[in-house]
Amino acid sequence: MISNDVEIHRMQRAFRTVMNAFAQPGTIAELRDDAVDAAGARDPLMTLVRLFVDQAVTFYCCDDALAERIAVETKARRASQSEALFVVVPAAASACEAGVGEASAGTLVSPEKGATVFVECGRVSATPDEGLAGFEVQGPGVRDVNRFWTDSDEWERVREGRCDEYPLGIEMILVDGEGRLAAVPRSSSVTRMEGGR
Amino acid sequence: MQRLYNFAFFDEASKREIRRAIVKGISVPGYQVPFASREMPIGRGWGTGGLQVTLAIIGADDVLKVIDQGCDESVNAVNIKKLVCATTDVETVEDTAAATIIQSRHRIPEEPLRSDQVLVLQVPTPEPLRSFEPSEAKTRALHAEADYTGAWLGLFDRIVRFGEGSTGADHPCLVNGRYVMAPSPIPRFDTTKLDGSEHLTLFGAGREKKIYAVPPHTRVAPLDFEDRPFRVEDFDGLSCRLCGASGVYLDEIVDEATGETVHQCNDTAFCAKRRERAAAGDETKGE
Repeated sequence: MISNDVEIHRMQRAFRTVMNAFAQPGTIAELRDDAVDAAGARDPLMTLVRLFVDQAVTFYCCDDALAERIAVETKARRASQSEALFVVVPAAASACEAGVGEASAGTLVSPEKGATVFVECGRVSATPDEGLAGFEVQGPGVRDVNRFWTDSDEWERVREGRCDEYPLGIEMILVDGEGRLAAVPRSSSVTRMEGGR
Repeated sequence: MQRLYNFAFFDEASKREIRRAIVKGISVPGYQVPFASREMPIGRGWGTGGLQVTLAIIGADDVLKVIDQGCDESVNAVNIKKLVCATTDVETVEDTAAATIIQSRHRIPEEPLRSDQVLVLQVPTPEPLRSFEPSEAKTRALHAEADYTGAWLGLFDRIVRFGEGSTGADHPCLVNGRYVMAPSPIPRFDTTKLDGSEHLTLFGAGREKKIYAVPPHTRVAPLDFEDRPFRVEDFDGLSCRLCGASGVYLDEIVDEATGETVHQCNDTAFCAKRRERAAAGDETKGE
């Protein structure tokens, strides 16, 4: 007999979506109906949190109310932005600097301790549109070049400004309110497209 | 009392632990991510690493194929399939093209894998420097410094002793120009399939508590010397006695009574599919 909880299957599908996004950086994946909570409310950012964050890891979130919610729901321990294994950046763009810039890059002996950063965007798109910034991604998982667009380019400027030397670095998942997401692992090279906005 | 298993055997916290390691493994290709390997209802060394990876990623819509040394029906493959099916009810197949997850020990299927398929390889010894350095702390430091003298020395030692730099299987590879990785005991013939592949490959080592990965379109270069280039097993002029395939990995079978040596496909599902197609073609011609 198997215990078949709806939530278990939802999280499994969400994980495969994220895993495929990491295997093909810069492509747009969609969480669709898997990005809802138990009450049925759409919440892609919290879906990512529930996928990876629990009492075995630490997290940082600059929004105190959201941080409190994450701590209560996942039992994860809060940590400073430079120590946390997961960094949650809600939609407010000003939070990006604090969350992404100081996040742990890991160590040469333990690069896996580099943080995974969830960045909530206004919009993540596979096609260009008015007001969107475009990015080209190259590296493992990419045959030639993958392109995607987001409403803000701050995450890329902060990532570039970190000057991480591979294999040190951070993983980023950019997700919008509709559940569209793009993954940018540390192995990827990201270039802002000229005239992409 | 009737016991309920969680879908895919593991509790959700265990899946999260393995999933975190998988994401880090994909993000740093070839790097062995340590993880809290779980106790499994099969013995360590019998595919517990691959099984844990499979159970952490598998969903109700997946179609599973498990092979051991190229065969879908060996004891190890059958038992792993039974456990996964008993806790997930997923469909299992032998046809490589029909599977979404392929767990394997010692082989990569002959049929090229697609981008929507995931290959999970069972790994007994994930550390390519282990024969050179027994200390885990020291091998981690060597990886940190990209000091792969031990791997090169191992190959050089083989040249000195056997006149051949290539290993029998598990030939060390440089992944994405940074980490030297043990590709699991796949033959050299299969090692080249990892280079620039369409599919994601996940490696699970349960006893050694490591998970690592090779994403699609990633450079996987077998280590070799300029004057002793890497060579795959040579099957020139040989073909399968059953389906006639050439250019595939062949098993050598010696008839002890007659002393005759014959060859046949190591990948049994590939061989059976070819024979089925040939038979169907013959029937069509006869109509």
